[in-house]
Amino acid sequence: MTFLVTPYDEKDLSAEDTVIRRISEHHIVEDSNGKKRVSTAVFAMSSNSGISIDIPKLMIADSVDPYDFVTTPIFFASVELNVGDIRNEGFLIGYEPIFDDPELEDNPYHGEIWRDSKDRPFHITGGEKKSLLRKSNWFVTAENVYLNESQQRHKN
Amino acid sequence: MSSSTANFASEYAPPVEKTKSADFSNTVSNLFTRSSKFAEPLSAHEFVSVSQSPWSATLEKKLEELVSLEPGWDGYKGLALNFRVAGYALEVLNRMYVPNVPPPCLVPIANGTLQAEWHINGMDLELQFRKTLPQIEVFFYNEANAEVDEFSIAGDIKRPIELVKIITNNQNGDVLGNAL
Repeated sequence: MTFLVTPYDEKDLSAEDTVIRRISEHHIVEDSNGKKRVSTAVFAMSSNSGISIDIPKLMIADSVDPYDFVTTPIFFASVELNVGDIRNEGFLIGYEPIFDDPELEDNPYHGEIWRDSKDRPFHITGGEKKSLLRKSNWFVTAENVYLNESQQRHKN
Repeated sequence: MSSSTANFASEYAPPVEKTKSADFSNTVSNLFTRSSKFAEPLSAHEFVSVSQSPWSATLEKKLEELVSLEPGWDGYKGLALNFRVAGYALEVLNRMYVPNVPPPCLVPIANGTLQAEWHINGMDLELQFRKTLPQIEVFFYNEANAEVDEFSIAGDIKRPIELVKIITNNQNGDVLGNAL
């Protein structure tokens, strides 16, 4: 089952910690020049009104390699974000492990990013999605896929 | 119902009877008034597009793929694209057709909704279709001057069409319609 956690901010995650968001082929789009890029939709809200993430700090505590855990032939790439950057955007981050869900694989390292808001249901704007994408870095790189402006500047 | 729409629907349900097909009025608002009477997700019987455009075949092929996604397709709790959202998106995007402009990329969202997006001439135009139909969140970004335009619509697609023309420098392009 998935524990539907009330949004909260996990004190054990410091600003320097990171979280990982997996990238599937469905998140890759093309611009008018045929160049591939990551869609901002990767940071859209999921069914539980949050953005699903993996928390490497928990994996490392269990001696699990985050690269091995999040990378599969289907989820061939992933991005990471600093917890401090996410909080600075006004979001909360917490643990939400998945166990014994008939349709999902167990993931004791699953977490969520929630909006720090009393409004229900939660919603994330296009600008907020783009901002999170801008602050992302490749954790596992998708070759020849554009992530954000800073990555592009870095390459230049 | 056009042949391309029929092909899309036939993947999911027996052929729609002629009399049943005739029940669907040719306005999308009527389609969704009817749809609201049914439990989600709708069967393909309710997935009937009333508009066609040169984008239709491309859009329908991709939508067909997205309504068939497996649970957890995103590595987490992702749901397949909701039929009602798919039908509405197809209707809206067909009506947004602008000549000489490529169809948008369609990206599934984990909650069963959809984002349509164009990235042309250094500009981004994104339409997020929400489950609370007919609400659509529109996001426009121009990299050249960092201009941002972000707003919600509920049926009137005039502004998104204008933005499609802006990003493609296609100010005189004809469209199928500008309101649902």
